[in-house]
Amino acid sequence: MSLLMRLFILLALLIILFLGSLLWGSAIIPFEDVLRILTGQGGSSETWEAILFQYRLPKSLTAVVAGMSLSVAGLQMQTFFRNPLADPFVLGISSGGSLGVALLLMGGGLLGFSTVAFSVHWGLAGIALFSIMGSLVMLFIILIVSRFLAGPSSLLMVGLMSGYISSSFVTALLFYSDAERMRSYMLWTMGSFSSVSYSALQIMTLPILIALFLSYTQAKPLNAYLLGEEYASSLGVNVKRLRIMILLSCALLTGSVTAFCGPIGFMGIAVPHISRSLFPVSNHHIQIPATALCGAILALVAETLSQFPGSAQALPLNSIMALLGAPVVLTLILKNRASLHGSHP
Amino acid sequence: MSPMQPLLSVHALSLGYKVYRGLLRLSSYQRCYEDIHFEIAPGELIGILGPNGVGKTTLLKTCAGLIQPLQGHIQLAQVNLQDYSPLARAQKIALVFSGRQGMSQLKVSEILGAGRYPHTGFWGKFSSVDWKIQEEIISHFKLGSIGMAKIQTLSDGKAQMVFLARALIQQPQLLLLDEPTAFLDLVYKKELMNCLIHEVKNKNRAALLTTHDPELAQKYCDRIILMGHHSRFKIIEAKHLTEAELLSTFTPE
Repeated sequence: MSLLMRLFILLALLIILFLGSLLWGSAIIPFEDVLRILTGQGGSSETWEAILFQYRLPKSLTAVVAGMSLSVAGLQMQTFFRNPLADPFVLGISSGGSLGVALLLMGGGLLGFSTVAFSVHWGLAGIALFSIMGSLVMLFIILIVSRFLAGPSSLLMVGLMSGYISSSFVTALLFYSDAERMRSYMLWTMGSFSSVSYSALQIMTLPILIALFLSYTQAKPLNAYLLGEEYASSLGVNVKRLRIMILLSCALLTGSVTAFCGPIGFMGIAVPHISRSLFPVSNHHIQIPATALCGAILALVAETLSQFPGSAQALPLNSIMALLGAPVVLTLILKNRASLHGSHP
Repeated sequence: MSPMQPLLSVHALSLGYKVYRGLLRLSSYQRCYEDIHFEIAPGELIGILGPNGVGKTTLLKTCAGLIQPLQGHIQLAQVNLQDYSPLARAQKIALVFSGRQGMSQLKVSEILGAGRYPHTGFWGKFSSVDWKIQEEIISHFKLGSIGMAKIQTLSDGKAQMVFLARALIQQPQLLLLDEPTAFLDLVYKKELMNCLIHEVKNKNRAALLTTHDPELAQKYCDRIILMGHHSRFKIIEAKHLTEAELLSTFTPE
């Protein structure tokens, strides 16, 4: 089967899952009604219409956007750090974003002004900005450290440690903030696609679109980068420019998602590997869209699984992500023992 | 015969590399070699001999434009090397680094295809010329059957042939090779050097290689650069390489 054919099949699967996620939930809405409501003919119940438009549609859209975003960030980081276990969550980039958000939400509260007003457009943009800045700072630290360290596992240790450092800041901030803020922050760290409003979705999507475009323009240099930094620069890659582009794009992708959905684990690490096994080529011109599609699909699956039909309860997204993603990572480690132990001579 | 224009000319070159100190990445330049003069013409193969750590690889990387010279000039085809854009430079110079550079999961065909990077456009799409060049070299190196194999599954000898083929697919005028025959058995050593000689003599390319094997250098190279300690730099005809010359190059004082 040709690669293009596979991309189309994935796209079809994504559309089916997307529609499915609109049906599935605490109340099951029949398919004909979903179609009628979406095409503007009006459903047989106003409640259904409200559920669909106010709740399920933004949630599913968020899942698609966030899934694409985190997976492409993971793919770029795996190529760039030449490390199959790199991803925004593992390397602490998401925690950097969390720290940014925590500083704004709780630090702002301590200083006496409130930024929690989620309805205000500027408040949302501020959250996105702080989260992106936090991610960028963390990426920068990881980048510097990666110049000193050889071998994939030491980089992961650094990521873990900087994650701990940023969560210790967050804990300190939590300690001084009131119970309500604490609770909303704790809920946010569990990860969720469901609390994102349309205006938040807009603010989240814009930087993500820019970053996805940015990463696609770097597909050719990324292909050369698979041969290592020295071969890449001997082939004419402007490594400094590539580094800036990747850093910026990963920070935008991770920061925007983290700002509104919380730090979501395992997407970035697992999805590029799933995509590589479906599309066995390293070419980023194919791998970037393929990873984006797989990411959107996995995010929709995880989101749908976290909803129990007939009940208003939903499991925290990160627990589902871990259940789906951790086995992939474990398989990967067991399969590629050799290649994870640093470089071959 | 008219004197041929040199392809690469190196004048009063001082070598060094950046060293980073401490977590703040404060960098300073470690000077490692001074006052290097030499020229290399198309159709010429020069070997570099010298003790470990003296700066042979740094010289290669500086000639490739990957490291900035601390002093002096390097001219590639009568134009300052620094005036080339990275892509224009890559169209003229190809490198073979030692070892696999941490590549493990890449397929042979992907590594070979990367050789056309400086010649293709935004999408990296091959033109019919690109395909023809690649096919020719693949069949010359008999690599057609292992295109889908991952580089980590190949022997050191086979992998090195893949990296040489990749450099040739880049169609450079100047080839720089860092210890291309290290880790190779006799058969591969001979095969690799014969391929290299074929490219240099028949396709009129220039090649500069570092090695720790004086016999190999004497057998295949036209001239030999001796890089001794304390910037004792010398370039001689390969047939004039003597035991005494080697000894004075490799003695620390």
